[in-house]
Amino acid sequence: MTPRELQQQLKALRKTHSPINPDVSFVAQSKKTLLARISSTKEHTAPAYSLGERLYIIGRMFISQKTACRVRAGSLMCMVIITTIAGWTVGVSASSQSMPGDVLYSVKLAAEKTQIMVASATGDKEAETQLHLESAKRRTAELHQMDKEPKKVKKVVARLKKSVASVGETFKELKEQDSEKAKYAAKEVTQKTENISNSLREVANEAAKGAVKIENTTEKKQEELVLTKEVVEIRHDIDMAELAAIAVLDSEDAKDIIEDKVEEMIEDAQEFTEALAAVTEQATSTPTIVVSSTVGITEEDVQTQEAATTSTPINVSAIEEESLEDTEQEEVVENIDESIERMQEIAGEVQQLLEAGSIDEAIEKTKDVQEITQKTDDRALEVQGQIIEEEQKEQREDAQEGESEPVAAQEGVEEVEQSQENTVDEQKVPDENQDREHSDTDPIEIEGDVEPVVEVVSLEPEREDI
Amino acid sequence: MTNKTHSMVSEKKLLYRVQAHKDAEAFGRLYDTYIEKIYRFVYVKLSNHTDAEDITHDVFLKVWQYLTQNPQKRIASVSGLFYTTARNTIVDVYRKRAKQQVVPIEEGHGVPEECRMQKIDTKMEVETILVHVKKLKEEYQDIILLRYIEGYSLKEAAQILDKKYTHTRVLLHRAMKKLQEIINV
Repeated sequence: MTPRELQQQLKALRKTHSPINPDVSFVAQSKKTLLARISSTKEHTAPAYSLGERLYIIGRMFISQKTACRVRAGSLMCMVIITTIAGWTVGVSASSQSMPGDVLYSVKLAAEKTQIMVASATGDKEAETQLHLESAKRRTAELHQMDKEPKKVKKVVARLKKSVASVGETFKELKEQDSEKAKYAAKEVTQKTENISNSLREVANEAAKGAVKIENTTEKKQEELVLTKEVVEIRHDIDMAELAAIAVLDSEDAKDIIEDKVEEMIEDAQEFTEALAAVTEQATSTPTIVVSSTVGITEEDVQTQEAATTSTPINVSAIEEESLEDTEQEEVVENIDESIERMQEIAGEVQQLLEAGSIDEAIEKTKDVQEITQKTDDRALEVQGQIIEEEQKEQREDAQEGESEPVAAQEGVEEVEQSQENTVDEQKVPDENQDREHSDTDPIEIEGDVEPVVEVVSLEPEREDI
Repeated sequence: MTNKTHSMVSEKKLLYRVQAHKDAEAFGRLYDTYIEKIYRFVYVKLSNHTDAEDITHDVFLKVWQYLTQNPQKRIASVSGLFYTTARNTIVDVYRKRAKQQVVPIEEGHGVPEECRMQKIDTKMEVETILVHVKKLKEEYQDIILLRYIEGYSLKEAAQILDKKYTHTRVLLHRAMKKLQEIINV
């Protein structure tokens, strides 16, 4: 018998009316008995399953054990991933408004770093450049809004510097990698770098104002000056990055942007000169207040009444002391004027180059303007630094003198108060003991000078000579 | 939806009704589907109508109890559940017989009485094969019954026997070879 015949005979076994099949009567009877039995044993009230339980039972029936295990493991993984992502997203979104020193600030930085790392890993230089720009923008905003605590400021400035440097580097790489993409990205880069540059200008201006504020201590002024220097430096870097992006643009777009850029630079420089002139003016008066309280009285060796009745000689002596610095500041202002003239000349050249269609050369010239601006800024800030240093030095000297003769100073204050009373009396009734120099002074002028002079002299510790 | 898939889905529905609602009517439908199959399976092993009927009845009762007492138990295959219960019940019967030393009357004759009466026609030839099948060892009997008599696919047979597909295929091959040897002797 062949295997095929054997198979056919086996299949036929079921179809034939053989004893292998059950008796029909048995089937019917057995069913009847069985149903009667199970009906009597089954609970009449069906168990109340919740919808969840029903779904679970159905699920278990239609899904095999293996599939169920896989689904369970998969869904667990999904849950973990979703929870992680959701937690991360919530954390990141909550941290987006955080400032340096806040608890969530590190989350904000970590999120930024992760994004940059991912972009870097995928080799998407365009995205990386944009992310570095975003970071720089955020750091600038933070600098603008945060408390100017030196440590925090230092960190933010360092990060900003790094981001700006990275913008330049990644854009350069993008340019080498894909010039078309770079061209496409350049517009956005130009716009963003310009925005950052403008924000940095505001930060620098604010810091520069802080550096000359009379109410600020010299330490505070020094800090503000350092911040100004650093921000100016970063701004220079970001401007350079902008020029690099402009170089990739179409000639028409580039032309407009360069023209605006050069004009803006010259305007900035002019504004800066005006600001510096104001600073110089203030510098000649501000230290005078400080200096006059020390140098004025010791040099003149005047008596109490002399000091109390006139401030004019004090100021004169102070200005003499300051004459060296004034000269230096004036030189700086003159230099800046010269620089602006030079910048204007270059601007003219840039204009000509743009008209001639030499965009690259125009950009190079613009870079020259940028260099001049940078040098001018550096020099001006250097002078400002010197003024603050001088101020600090004088304050230290004051403090030393104050420590050496505290008792005398106390006495001096009392005597000054007494002398003030005397002065008032003298105005009413001229005294015989009135000093000769003092007698030359107009009593009406003296009346006006009384209050400030007393204020100045009251800080003076040296009263032994009186 | 193919017929097989359709029957599988309807079987699962019935199973759900039995497990979740202890639905006797649903179980009755499952009974209709499996009564002949289980009876044949039992009969091939016992060769006694009375015992086969009793055991088949017991199998269905046990399945009902199992399903209603374990409403949340995952049942991968309804047919697998019936055949496994039948196999276990037969094993229990063998154990009892071993203790009681009872030899089935029909087994003594070797061939069912009905078969011996009609040896000359085709029907008799077919039934003779059954006699030869009974000479095979149990797992060979099972695979031949499931694959050729009941018409299950190898995959379904593997699932019912709780064996791997490849193993089932090899088993079937060996069983057929052995059966041929017995017939050709």
